[in-house]
Amino acid sequence: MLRPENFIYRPKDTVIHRLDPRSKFYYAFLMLVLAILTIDFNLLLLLLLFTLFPILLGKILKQVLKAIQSSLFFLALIFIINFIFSLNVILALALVIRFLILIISFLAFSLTTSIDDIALSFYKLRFPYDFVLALTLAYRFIPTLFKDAVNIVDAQRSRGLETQKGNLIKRVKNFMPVIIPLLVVAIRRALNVAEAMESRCFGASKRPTNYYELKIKFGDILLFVASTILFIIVLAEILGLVKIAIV
Amino acid sequence: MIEFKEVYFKYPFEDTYALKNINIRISKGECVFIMGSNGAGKTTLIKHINGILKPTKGEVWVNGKNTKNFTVAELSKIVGIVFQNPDHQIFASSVYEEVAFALRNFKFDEKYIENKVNETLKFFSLEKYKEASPLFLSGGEKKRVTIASVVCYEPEILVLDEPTVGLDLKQRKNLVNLINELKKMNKTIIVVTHDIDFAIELANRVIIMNEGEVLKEGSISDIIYDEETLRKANLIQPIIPQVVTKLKLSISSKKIITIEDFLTNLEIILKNVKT
Ligand SMILES: Nc1ncnc2c1ncn2[C@@H]1O[C@H](COP(=O)(O)OP(=O)(O)OP(=O)(O)O)[C@@H](O)[C@H]1O
Ligand SMILES: [Mg+2]
Repeated sequence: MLRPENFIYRPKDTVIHRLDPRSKFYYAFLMLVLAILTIDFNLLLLLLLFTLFPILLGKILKQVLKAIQSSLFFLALIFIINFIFSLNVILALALVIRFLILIISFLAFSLTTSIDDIALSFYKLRFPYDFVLALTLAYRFIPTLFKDAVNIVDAQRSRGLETQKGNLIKRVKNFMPVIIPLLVVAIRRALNVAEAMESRCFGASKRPTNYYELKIKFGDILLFVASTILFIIVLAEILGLVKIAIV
Repeated sequence: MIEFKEVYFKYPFEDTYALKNINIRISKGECVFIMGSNGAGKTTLIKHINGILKPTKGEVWVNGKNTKNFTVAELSKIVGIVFQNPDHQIFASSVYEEVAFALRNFKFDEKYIENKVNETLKFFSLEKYKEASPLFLSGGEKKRVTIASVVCYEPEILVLDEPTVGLDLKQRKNLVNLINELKKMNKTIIVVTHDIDFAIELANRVIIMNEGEVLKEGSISDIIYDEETLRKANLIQPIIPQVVTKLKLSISSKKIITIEDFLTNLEIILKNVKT
Protein backbone atom coordinates (compact mmCIF):
# COMPACT_ATOMS: atom_id res chain seq x y z
CA MET A 1 0.00 0.00 0.00
CA LEU A 2 1.14 3.55 -0.67
CA ARG A 3 1.72 5.13 2.70
CA PRO A 4 2.07 8.90 2.71
CA GLU A 5 4.53 8.76 5.59
CA ASN A 6 7.13 7.50 3.16
CA PHE A 7 6.76 10.50 0.90
CA ILE A 8 6.57 13.22 3.48
CA TYR A 9 9.29 15.60 4.60
CA ARG A 10 10.65 15.25 8.10
CA PRO A 11 12.96 17.87 9.53
CA LYS A 12 16.56 16.71 9.85
CA ASP A 13 19.80 18.61 10.01
CA THR A 14 21.91 17.44 7.07
CA VAL A 15 23.79 19.09 4.21
CA ILE A 16 21.00 18.18 1.82
CA HIS A 17 18.20 19.47 4.04
CA ARG A 18 19.97 22.81 4.37
CA LEU A 19 20.34 23.34 0.60
CA ASP A 20 18.26 25.90 -1.23
CA PRO A 21 15.10 24.28 -2.62
CA ARG A 22 15.79 25.80 -6.03
CA SER A 23 19.13 24.08 -6.44
CA LYS A 24 17.64 20.79 -5.25
CA PHE A 25 14.82 21.18 -7.68
CA TYR A 26 17.27 21.95 -10.47
CA TYR A 27 19.15 18.75 -9.66
CA ALA A 28 16.00 16.60 -9.50
CA PHE A 29 14.73 18.13 -12.72
CA LEU A 30 17.97 17.44 -14.62
CA MET A 31 18.03 13.85 -13.41
CA LEU A 32 14.47 13.46 -14.57
CA VAL A 33 15.19 14.91 -18.01
CA LEU A 34 18.26 12.73 -18.45
CA ALA A 35 16.48 9.59 -17.34
CA ILE A 36 13.80 10.25 -19.91
CA LEU A 37 16.21 11.17 -22.68
CA THR A 38 18.25 8.01 -22.54
CA ILE A 39 17.37 4.36 -22.66
CA ASP A 40 20.95 3.19 -22.56
CA PHE A 41 21.45 0.69 -19.75
CA ASN A 42 24.96 1.90 -18.83
CA LEU A 43 23.95 5.51 -18.68
CA LEU A 44 20.89 4.81 -16.59
CA LEU A 45 23.00 2.80 -14.18
CA LEU A 46 25.39 5.72 -13.89
CA LEU A 47 22.51 8.09 -13.19
CA LEU A 48 21.13 5.72 -10.59
CA LEU A 49 24.50 5.79 -8.91
CA PHE A 50 24.37 9.57 -8.81
CA THR A 51 20.93 9.63 -7.24
CA LEU A 52 22.38 7.77 -4.28
CA PHE A 53 24.55 10.68 -3.07
CA PRO A 54 21.76 12.97 -1.88
CA ILE A 55 19.95 9.97 -0.35
CA LEU A 56 22.96 8.98 1.73
CA LEU A 57 24.02 12.52 2.60
CA GLY A 58 20.44 13.44 3.47
CA LYS A 59 20.05 10.32 5.68
CA ILE A 60 16.76 9.33 4.06
CA LEU A 61 17.78 5.87 2.86
CA LYS A 62 15.25 4.13 5.10
CA GLN A 63 12.31 6.15 3.84
CA VAL A 64 13.43 5.78 0.24
CA LEU A 65 13.71 2.01 0.61
CA LYS A 66 10.22 1.85 2.09
CA ALA A 67 8.88 3.94 -0.78
CA ILE A 68 10.58 1.67 -3.31
CA GLN A 69 9.18 -1.31 -1.48
CA SER A 70 5.66 0.06 -1.83
CA SER A 71 6.21 0.59 -5.56
CA LEU A 72 7.66 -2.88 -6.11
CA PHE A 73 4.45 -3.89 -7.80
CA PHE A 74 4.79 -1.16 -10.44
CA LEU A 75 8.42 -1.99 -10.96
CA ALA A 76 7.56 -5.63 -11.50
CA LEU A 77 4.77 -4.62 -13.86
CA ILE A 78 7.11 -2.42 -15.89
CA PHE A 79 9.62 -5.21 -16.14
CA ILE A 80 7.14 -7.89 -17.13
CA ILE A 81 5.25 -5.85 -19.70
CA ASN A 82 8.40 -4.60 -21.37
CA PHE A 83 9.95 -8.01 -21.34
CA ILE A 84 6.91 -9.57 -22.94
CA PHE A 85 6.83 -6.99 -25.70
CA SER A 86 10.55 -6.76 -26.42
CA LEU A 87 11.89 -10.09 -25.12
CA ASN A 88 14.91 -8.05 -24.14
CA VAL A 89 16.00 -8.35 -20.50
CA ILE A 90 18.43 -5.44 -20.68
CA LEU A 91 15.80 -3.10 -22.08
CA ALA A 92 13.23 -4.15 -19.51
CA LEU A 93 15.80 -3.64 -16.76
CA ALA A 94 16.75 -0.25 -18.17
CA LEU A 95 13.14 0.86 -17.99
CA VAL A 96 12.91 -0.32 -14.40
CA ILE A 97 16.04 1.67 -13.59
CA ARG A 98 14.60 4.71 -15.32
CA PHE A 99 11.54 4.46 -13.13
CA LEU A 100 13.74 4.06 -10.06
CA ILE A 101 15.68 7.20 -10.98
CA LEU A 102 12.45 9.13 -11.32
CA ILE A 103 11.25 7.96 -7.89
CA ILE A 104 14.54 8.46 -6.14
CA SER A 105 15.32 11.90 -7.48
CA PHE A 106 11.79 13.03 -6.74
CA LEU A 107 12.15 11.69 -3.19
CA ALA A 108 15.58 13.30 -2.77
CA PHE A 109 13.82 16.59 -3.31
CA SER A 110 10.53 16.02 -1.54
CA LEU A 111 11.88 14.24 1.53
CA THR A 112 14.48 16.88 2.28
CA THR A 113 12.58 20.05 1.45
CA SER A 114 9.91 21.46 3.71
CA ILE A 115 6.76 22.65 2.00
CA ASP A 116 7.42 26.11 3.38
CA ASP A 117 10.69 26.24 1.48
CA ILE A 118 9.04 24.98 -1.69
CA ALA A 119 6.29 27.56 -1.36
CA LEU A 120 8.81 30.29 -0.67
CA SER A 121 10.69 29.39 -3.86
CA PHE A 122 7.52 29.68 -5.88
CA TYR A 123 6.81 32.99 -4.22
CA LYS A 124 10.30 34.24 -5.06
CA LEU A 125 9.69 33.19 -8.64
CA ARG A 126 6.82 35.71 -8.62
CA PHE A 127 3.97 33.21 -8.40
CA PRO A 128 0.82 34.76 -6.89
CA TYR A 129 0.50 34.54 -3.13
CA ASP A 130 -2.88 32.78 -3.26
CA PHE A 131 -1.42 30.01 -5.38
CA VAL A 132 1.54 29.57 -3.06
CA LEU A 133 -0.69 29.44 -0.01
CA ALA A 134 -3.09 26.95 -1.59
CA LEU A 135 -0.11 24.75 -2.36
CA THR A 136 1.14 24.89 1.21
CA LEU A 137 -2.26 24.15 2.68
CA ALA A 138 -3.00 21.28 0.33
CA TYR A 139 0.30 19.67 1.19
CA ARG A 140 -0.04 20.34 4.88
CA PHE A 141 -3.37 18.57 5.11
CA ILE A 142 -2.27 15.31 3.53
CA PRO A 143 -1.13 13.73 6.80
CA THR A 144 -4.13 15.14 8.65
CA LEU A 145 -6.45 13.72 6.06
CA PHE A 146 -4.69 10.39 6.32
CA LYS A 147 -5.15 10.37 10.11
CA ASP A 148 -8.82 11.22 9.63
CA ALA A 149 -9.20 8.36 7.19
CA VAL A 150 -7.66 5.92 9.68
CA ASN A 151 -9.93 7.11 12.47
CA ILE A 152 -13.01 6.93 10.26
CA VAL A 153 -12.24 3.39 9.14
CA ASP A 154 -11.66 2.44 12.78
CA ALA A 155 -14.95 3.96 13.89
CA GLN A 156 -16.97 2.27 11.15
CA ARG A 157 -15.29 -1.10 11.58
CA SER A 158 -16.15 -0.86 15.27
CA ARG A 159 -19.77 -0.66 14.23
CA GLY A 160 -19.45 -3.84 12.24
CA LEU A 161 -18.60 -2.44 8.80
CA GLU A 162 -17.00 -5.11 6.66
CA THR A 163 -14.43 -3.64 4.28
CA GLN A 164 -12.64 -6.75 3.14
CA LYS A 165 -15.34 -9.14 2.01
CA GLY A 166 -18.00 -9.13 -0.70
CA ASN A 167 -18.24 -8.48 -4.44
CA LEU A 168 -17.32 -5.21 -6.11
CA ILE A 169 -20.74 -3.54 -5.78
CA LYS A 170 -20.91 -4.48 -2.14
CA ARG A 171 -17.43 -3.17 -1.50
CA VAL A 172 -18.18 0.14 -3.18
CA LYS A 173 -21.33 0.40 -1.11
CA ASN A 174 -19.38 -0.40 2.01
CA PHE A 175 -16.99 2.38 1.13
CA MET A 176 -19.61 5.10 1.49
CA PRO A 177 -19.52 5.17 5.32
CA VAL A 178 -15.83 6.01 4.98
CA ILE A 179 -15.88 8.40 2.04
CA ILE A 180 -18.72 10.60 3.27
CA PRO A 181 -17.27 11.49 6.67
CA LEU A 182 -13.88 11.98 5.04
CA LEU A 183 -15.29 14.51 2.57
CA VAL A 184 -17.36 16.22 5.23
CA VAL A 185 -14.40 16.52 7.57
CA ALA A 186 -12.19 17.86 4.77
CA ILE A 187 -14.74 20.45 3.66
CA ARG A 188 -15.45 21.52 7.23
CA ARG A 189 -11.75 21.92 7.85
CA ALA A 190 -11.30 23.96 4.69
CA LEU A 191 -14.10 26.29 5.73
CA ASN A 192 -12.65 26.62 9.22
CA VAL A 193 -9.22 27.41 7.84
CA ALA A 194 -10.71 30.01 5.50
CA GLU A 195 -12.52 31.68 8.38
CA ALA A 196 -9.46 31.59 10.59
CA MET A 197 -7.34 33.08 7.82
CA GLU A 198 -9.76 35.83 7.04
CA SER A 199 -10.02 36.76 10.68
CA ARG A 200 -6.27 37.22 10.58
CA CYS A 201 -6.44 39.65 7.68
CA PHE A 202 -5.72 37.28 4.82
CA GLY A 203 -6.11 39.15 1.54
CA ALA A 204 -5.25 42.54 3.01
CA SER A 205 -1.99 42.62 1.10
CA LYS A 206 -1.25 41.22 -2.35
CA ARG A 207 2.40 40.48 -1.58
CA PRO A 208 2.86 39.95 2.15
CA THR A 209 6.36 39.83 3.60
CA ASN A 210 8.13 36.61 4.59
CA TYR A 211 9.66 35.58 7.86
CA TYR A 212 12.32 33.43 6.22
CA GLU A 213 14.51 34.36 3.31
CA LEU A 214 16.18 32.01 0.84
CA LYS A 215 19.93 32.31 0.46
CA ILE A 216 22.19 30.68 -2.08
CA LYS A 217 25.10 29.09 -0.24
CA PHE A 218 28.32 27.36 -1.27
CA GLY A 219 26.65 23.92 -1.26
CA ASP A 220 24.01 25.16 -3.67
CA ILE A 221 26.59 26.40 -6.14
CA LEU A 222 28.42 23.11 -5.83
CA LEU A 223 25.25 21.11 -6.51
CA PHE A 224 24.32 23.42 -9.35
CA VAL A 225 27.73 23.06 -11.02
CA ALA A 226 27.94 19.31 -10.40
CA SER A 227 24.52 18.56 -11.81
CA THR A 228 25.14 20.81 -14.80
CA ILE A 229 28.41 19.03 -15.55
CA LEU A 230 26.73 15.65 -15.18
CA PHE A 231 23.97 16.84 -17.46
CA ILE A 232 26.40 17.99 -20.14
CA ILE A 233 28.43 14.78 -20.01
CA VAL A 234 25.41 12.53 -20.20
CA LEU A 235 23.89 14.65 -22.93
CA ALA A 236 27.15 14.42 -24.85
CA GLU A 237 27.06 10.67 -24.50
CA ILE A 238 23.45 10.52 -25.62
CA LEU A 239 24.33 12.58 -28.67
CA GLY A 240 27.24 10.20 -29.31
CA LEU A 241 30.00 12.76 -28.66
CA VAL A 242 31.68 10.77 -25.88
CA LYS A 243 31.59 7.16 -24.73
CA ILE A 244 31.03 6.01 -21.14
CA ALA A 245 31.17 2.36 -20.15
CA ILE A 246 30.49 0.86 -16.76
CA VAL A 247 29.05 -2.56 -17.41
CA MET B 1 -13.57 -9.90 31.29
CA ILE B 2 -10.83 -7.85 29.70
CA GLU B 3 -7.18 -8.49 30.29
CA PHE B 4 -4.10 -6.66 29.03
CA LYS B 5 -0.96 -8.75 29.51
CA GLU B 6 2.31 -6.82 29.23
CA VAL B 7 1.05 -4.92 26.23
CA TYR B 8 3.44 -2.75 24.27
CA PHE B 9 2.31 -0.87 21.20
CA LYS B 10 4.17 1.20 18.63
CA TYR B 11 2.47 2.98 15.71
CA PRO B 12 4.11 2.17 12.39
CA PHE B 13 6.88 4.63 11.50
CA GLU B 14 7.05 5.99 15.05
CA ASP B 15 10.17 5.55 17.14
CA THR B 16 8.59 5.54 20.58
CA TYR B 17 6.03 3.23 22.11
CA ALA B 18 2.54 4.69 22.50
CA LEU B 19 1.81 1.98 25.10
CA LYS B 20 4.39 0.53 27.46
CA ASN B 21 3.96 -2.52 29.63
CA ILE B 22 0.23 -2.25 30.19
CA ASN B 23 -1.22 -4.78 32.63
CA ILE B 24 -4.90 -4.28 33.28
CA ARG B 25 -7.73 -6.56 34.35
CA ILE B 26 -11.32 -5.43 34.11
CA SER B 27 -13.98 -7.79 35.42
CA LYS B 28 -17.50 -8.16 34.12
CA GLY B 29 -19.84 -5.49 35.42
CA GLU B 30 -17.10 -3.06 36.43
CA CYS B 31 -17.18 0.61 35.51
CA VAL B 32 -13.63 1.72 34.94
CA PHE B 33 -12.50 5.24 34.11
CA ILE B 34 -9.30 5.89 32.20
CA MET B 35 -7.83 9.33 32.64
CA GLY B 36 -4.62 11.14 31.76
CA SER B 37 -3.24 14.07 29.82
CA ASN B 38 -3.52 14.58 26.05
CA GLY B 39 -1.40 12.09 24.19
CA ALA B 40 -1.14 9.76 27.21
CA GLY B 41 -2.30 6.84 25.07
CA LYS B 42 -5.91 6.47 26.23
CA THR B 43 -7.43 6.22 22.77
CA THR B 44 -4.63 3.91 21.67
CA LEU B 45 -5.41 1.68 24.65
CA ILE B 46 -9.12 1.35 23.99
CA LYS B 47 -8.56 0.63 20.31
CA HIS B 48 -6.95 -2.60 21.51
CA ILE B 49 -10.14 -3.82 23.15
CA ASN B 50 -11.97 -4.59 19.91
CA GLY B 51 -8.86 -5.47 17.98
CA ILE B 52 -8.57 -2.37 15.78
CA LEU B 53 -5.01 -2.23 17.01
CA LYS B 54 -3.14 -5.39 17.90
CA PRO B 55 -0.32 -5.25 20.45
CA THR B 56 3.23 -5.03 19.15
CA LYS B 57 4.21 -7.18 22.14
CA GLY B 58 1.98 -8.84 24.72
CA GLU B 59 -1.64 -9.95 24.53
CA VAL B 60 -5.13 -8.60 24.97
CA TRP B 61 -7.88 -10.99 26.00
CA VAL B 62 -11.58 -10.20 25.82
CA ASN B 63 -14.02 -12.73 27.25
CA GLY B 64 -11.46 -15.48 26.87
CA LYS B 65 -10.63 -14.50 23.29
CA ASN B 66 -7.16 -13.38 22.29
CA THR B 67 -7.85 -10.32 20.10
CA LYS B 68 -5.03 -11.43 17.82
CA ASN B 69 -7.16 -14.28 16.52
CA PHE B 70 -10.42 -12.42 15.87
CA THR B 71 -11.58 -9.79 13.41
CA VAL B 72 -12.76 -6.36 14.46
CA ALA B 73 -16.28 -7.23 13.31
CA GLU B 74 -16.38 -10.31 15.52
CA LEU B 75 -15.06 -8.47 18.57
CA SER B 76 -17.22 -5.40 17.98
CA LYS B 77 -20.32 -7.43 18.61
CA ILE B 78 -19.11 -7.85 22.19
CA VAL B 79 -17.27 -4.54 22.51
CA GLY B 80 -19.00 -1.33 21.44
CA ILE B 81 -16.72 1.67 21.16
CA VAL B 82 -17.94 5.24 20.81
CA PHE B 83 -15.06 7.36 19.55
CA GLN B 84 -14.00 10.85 20.45
CA ASN B 85 -14.94 12.67 17.28
CA PRO B 86 -18.52 12.25 16.02
CA ASP B 87 -17.51 13.63 12.62
CA HIS B 88 -15.41 10.54 12.11
CA GLN B 89 -18.41 8.27 11.92
CA ILE B 90 -21.51 10.22 10.94
CA PHE B 91 -22.40 9.56 7.32
CA ALA B 92 -25.97 8.39 6.92
CA SER B 93 -28.76 10.41 5.31
CA SER B 94 -30.88 10.43 8.44
CA VAL B 95 -30.39 10.07 12.17
CA TYR B 96 -32.51 6.91 12.02
CA GLU B 97 -30.22 5.32 9.45
CA GLU B 98 -27.13 6.37 11.37
CA VAL B 99 -28.35 4.66 14.52
CA ALA B 100 -29.50 1.60 12.57
CA PHE B 101 -26.12 1.20 10.86
CA ALA B 102 -24.49 -1.15 13.35
CA LEU B 103 -27.69 -3.15 13.82
CA ARG B 104 -27.84 -3.71 10.06
CA ASN B 105 -24.20 -4.74 9.92
CA PHE B 106 -24.80 -7.26 12.66
CA LYS B 107 -27.78 -8.57 10.67
CA PHE B 108 -30.60 -8.05 13.16
CA ASP B 109 -34.02 -8.33 11.55
CA GLU B 110 -35.77 -5.20 10.35
CA LYS B 111 -38.62 -5.33 12.87
CA TYR B 112 -36.19 -5.56 15.79
CA ILE B 113 -34.10 -2.73 14.32
CA GLU B 114 -37.10 -0.44 14.04
CA ASN B 115 -38.14 -0.99 17.65
CA LYS B 116 -34.63 -0.71 18.97
CA VAL B 117 -33.78 2.46 17.05
CA ASN B 118 -36.98 4.21 18.05
CA GLU B 119 -36.46 3.29 21.67
CA THR B 120 -32.87 4.52 21.62
CA LEU B 121 -33.74 7.77 19.86
CA LYS B 122 -36.35 8.44 22.48
CA PHE B 123 -33.94 7.82 25.29
CA PHE B 124 -31.47 10.33 23.86
CA SER B 125 -34.24 12.89 23.07
CA LEU B 126 -33.48 12.59 19.39
CA GLU B 127 -36.91 11.52 18.04
CA LYS B 128 -37.57 14.90 16.52
CA TYR B 129 -34.44 14.54 14.38
CA LYS B 130 -35.31 11.03 13.25
CA GLU B 131 -35.59 12.03 9.58
CA ALA B 132 -33.08 14.90 9.74
CA SER B 133 -29.56 14.69 8.39
CA PRO B 134 -27.15 13.95 11.23
CA LEU B 135 -24.44 16.02 9.52
CA PHE B 136 -26.05 19.31 10.47
CA LEU B 137 -26.85 18.66 14.11
CA SER B 138 -25.09 20.58 16.86
CA GLY B 139 -21.96 19.17 18.51
CA GLY B 140 -23.77 17.72 21.53
CA GLU B 141 -26.55 16.27 19.39
CA LYS B 142 -24.03 14.57 17.13
CA LYS B 143 -22.32 13.16 20.20
CA ARG B 144 -25.63 11.70 21.33
CA VAL B 145 -26.27 10.19 17.91
CA THR B 146 -22.92 8.42 18.03
CA ILE B 147 -23.51 7.12 21.54
CA ALA B 148 -27.00 5.98 20.52
CA SER B 149 -25.63 4.24 17.43
CA VAL B 150 -23.49 1.97 19.61
CA VAL B 151 -25.67 1.59 22.70
CA CYS B 152 -28.56 0.39 20.52
CA TYR B 153 -26.98 -2.96 19.73
CA GLU B 154 -26.42 -3.62 23.42
CA PRO B 155 -22.79 -4.72 23.43
CA GLU B 156 -21.70 -6.53 26.54
CA ILE B 157 -18.77 -4.15 26.97
CA LEU B 158 -19.26 -0.46 26.26
CA VAL B 159 -16.31 1.85 25.74
CA LEU B 160 -16.84 5.61 25.61
CA ASP B 161 -14.06 8.01 24.55
CA GLU B 162 -14.71 11.48 25.97
CA PRO B 163 -18.49 11.08 26.08
CA THR B 164 -19.27 14.27 27.99
CA VAL B 165 -17.58 16.72 25.65
CA GLY B 166 -20.18 19.16 24.35
CA LEU B 167 -23.11 17.77 26.35
CA ASP B 168 -25.23 20.19 28.35
CA LEU B 169 -26.20 19.51 31.94
CA LYS B 170 -29.43 17.72 31.09
CA GLN B 171 -27.80 15.42 28.54
CA ARG B 172 -24.92 14.77 30.86
CA LYS B 173 -27.34 13.68 33.60
CA ASN B 174 -29.04 11.53 31.02
CA LEU B 175 -25.73 9.88 30.24
CA VAL B 176 -25.05 9.27 33.94
CA ASN B 177 -28.48 7.62 34.19
CA LEU B 178 -27.79 5.50 31.14
CA ILE B 179 -24.48 4.28 32.51
CA ASN B 180 -26.10 3.54 35.88
CA GLU B 181 -28.77 1.52 34.07
CA LEU B 182 -26.12 -0.40 32.18
CA LYS B 183 -24.22 -1.04 35.39
CA LYS B 184 -27.36 -2.55 36.87
CA MET B 185 -27.59 -4.81 33.83
CA ASN B 186 -24.08 -6.00 34.73
CA LYS B 187 -22.50 -4.58 31.57
CA THR B 188 -18.83 -3.70 31.63
CA ILE B 189 -18.20 -0.02 31.04
CA ILE B 190 -14.99 1.77 30.23
CA VAL B 191 -14.95 5.54 30.02
CA VAL B 192 -12.09 7.74 28.84
CA THR B 193 -12.44 11.29 30.11
CA HIS B 194 -10.78 14.42 31.45
CA ASP B 195 -13.93 15.11 33.45
CA ILE B 196 -13.13 14.09 37.01
CA ASP B 197 -16.59 14.96 38.34
CA PHE B 198 -18.03 12.49 35.88
CA ALA B 199 -15.67 9.87 37.26
CA ILE B 200 -16.71 10.70 40.83
CA GLU B 201 -20.32 10.03 39.91
CA LEU B 202 -19.74 6.67 38.24
CA ALA B 203 -16.33 5.06 38.58
CA ASN B 204 -15.72 1.81 40.44
CA ARG B 205 -12.08 2.16 39.62
CA VAL B 206 -9.83 4.73 37.98
CA ILE B 207 -6.75 4.10 35.86
CA ILE B 208 -4.45 7.07 35.38
CA MET B 209 -2.22 6.97 32.33
CA ASN B 210 0.84 9.02 31.55
CA GLU B 211 3.15 8.80 28.55
CA GLY B 212 1.88 5.38 27.54
CA GLU B 213 2.12 3.83 30.97
CA VAL B 214 -0.29 3.16 33.79
CA LEU B 215 0.70 5.72 36.40
CA LYS B 216 -1.77 4.74 39.08
CA GLU B 217 -4.76 2.50 39.53
CA GLY B 218 -7.21 2.82 42.38
CA SER B 219 -10.57 3.91 43.70
CA ILE B 220 -11.73 7.42 42.96
CA SER B 221 -10.85 8.53 46.51
CA ASP B 222 -7.31 7.20 46.09
CA ILE B 223 -6.99 9.38 43.04
CA ILE B 224 -8.59 12.63 44.11
CA TYR B 225 -6.44 12.84 47.22
CA ASP B 226 -3.22 12.07 45.33
CA GLU B 227 -2.08 15.52 44.31
CA GLU B 228 1.09 14.37 42.63
CA THR B 229 -0.68 11.91 40.34
CA LEU B 230 -3.31 14.49 39.48
CA ARG B 231 -0.62 16.98 38.58
CA LYS B 232 1.16 14.49 36.34
CA ALA B 233 -2.09 13.63 34.60
CA ASN B 234 -3.01 17.30 34.20
CA LEU B 235 -6.23 16.88 36.14
CA ILE B 236 -7.72 19.48 38.47
CA GLN B 237 -8.26 18.32 42.01
CA PRO B 238 -11.98 18.69 42.74
CA ILE B 239 -12.94 21.36 45.24
CA ILE B 240 -13.95 19.11 48.16
CA PRO B 241 -10.65 17.19 48.37
CA GLN B 242 -8.88 20.52 47.95
CA VAL B 243 -10.68 21.98 50.95
CA VAL B 244 -10.25 18.83 53.02
CA THR B 245 -6.54 18.68 52.23
CA LYS B 246 -6.09 22.33 53.21
CA LEU B 247 -7.84 21.66 56.51
CA LYS B 248 -5.14 19.11 57.42
CA LEU B 249 -7.42 16.70 59.28
CA SER B 250 -5.96 14.38 61.89
CA ILE B 251 -8.21 11.52 60.68
CA SER B 252 -8.29 9.77 57.35
CA SER B 253 -10.22 11.93 54.91
CA LYS B 254 -10.45 9.53 51.98
CA LYS B 255 -14.15 8.84 52.40
CA ILE B 256 -15.02 12.49 51.82
CA ILE B 257 -15.60 12.84 48.10
CA THR B 258 -18.76 14.79 47.40
CA ILE B 259 -20.38 17.83 48.98
CA GLU B 260 -22.88 15.48 50.63
CA ASP B 261 -20.05 13.52 52.24
CA PHE B 262 -18.58 16.78 53.42
CA LEU B 263 -21.81 18.05 54.93
CA THR B 264 -22.81 14.81 56.65
CA ASN B 265 -19.36 14.56 58.16
CA LEU B 266 -19.09 18.24 58.96
CA GLU B 267 -19.13 17.74 62.70
CA ILE B 268 -16.36 15.15 62.65
CA ILE B 269 -14.37 17.26 60.24
CA LEU B 270 -14.55 20.36 62.38
CA LYS B 271 -13.55 18.38 65.47
CA ASN B 272 -10.46 17.04 63.75
CA VAL B 273 -9.05 20.15 62.17
CA LYS B 274 -5.45 20.57 63.27
CA THR B 275 -4.71 24.02 64.52
N1 LIG C 1 -2.35 7.05 13.94
C1 LIG C 1 -1.28 7.42 14.65
N2 LIG C 1 -0.04 7.35 14.12
C2 LIG C 1 1.04 7.70 14.83
N3 LIG C 1 1.00 8.14 16.09
C3 LIG C 1 -0.19 8.24 16.69
C4 LIG C 1 -1.41 7.89 16.01
N4 LIG C 1 -2.44 8.10 16.85
C5 LIG C 1 -1.89 8.56 17.99
N5 LIG C 1 -0.56 8.64 17.92
C6 LIG C 1 0.37 9.08 18.98
O1 LIG C 1 0.26 8.20 20.09
C7 LIG C 1 0.24 8.91 21.32
C8 LIG C 1 -1.02 8.59 22.11
O2 LIG C 1 -2.14 9.10 21.41
P1 LIG C 1 -3.63 8.88 21.91
O3 LIG C 1 -4.52 9.37 20.83
O4 LIG C 1 -3.80 7.49 22.36
O5 LIG C 1 -3.71 9.86 23.16
P2 LIG C 1 -4.95 10.20 24.10
O6 LIG C 1 -4.56 9.83 25.48
O7 LIG C 1 -6.19 9.61 23.55
O8 LIG C 1 -5.01 11.80 24.00
P3 LIG C 1 -6.27 12.79 23.98
O9 LIG C 1 -6.59 13.10 25.40
O10 LIG C 1 -5.73 13.99 23.28
O11 LIG C 1 -7.37 12.13 23.23
C9 LIG C 1 0.38 10.37 20.95
O12 LIG C 1 1.72 10.75 21.13
C10 LIG C 1 -0.01 10.45 19.50
O13 LIG C 1 0.70 11.46 18.84
MG1 LIG D 1 -7.95 10.33 22.78
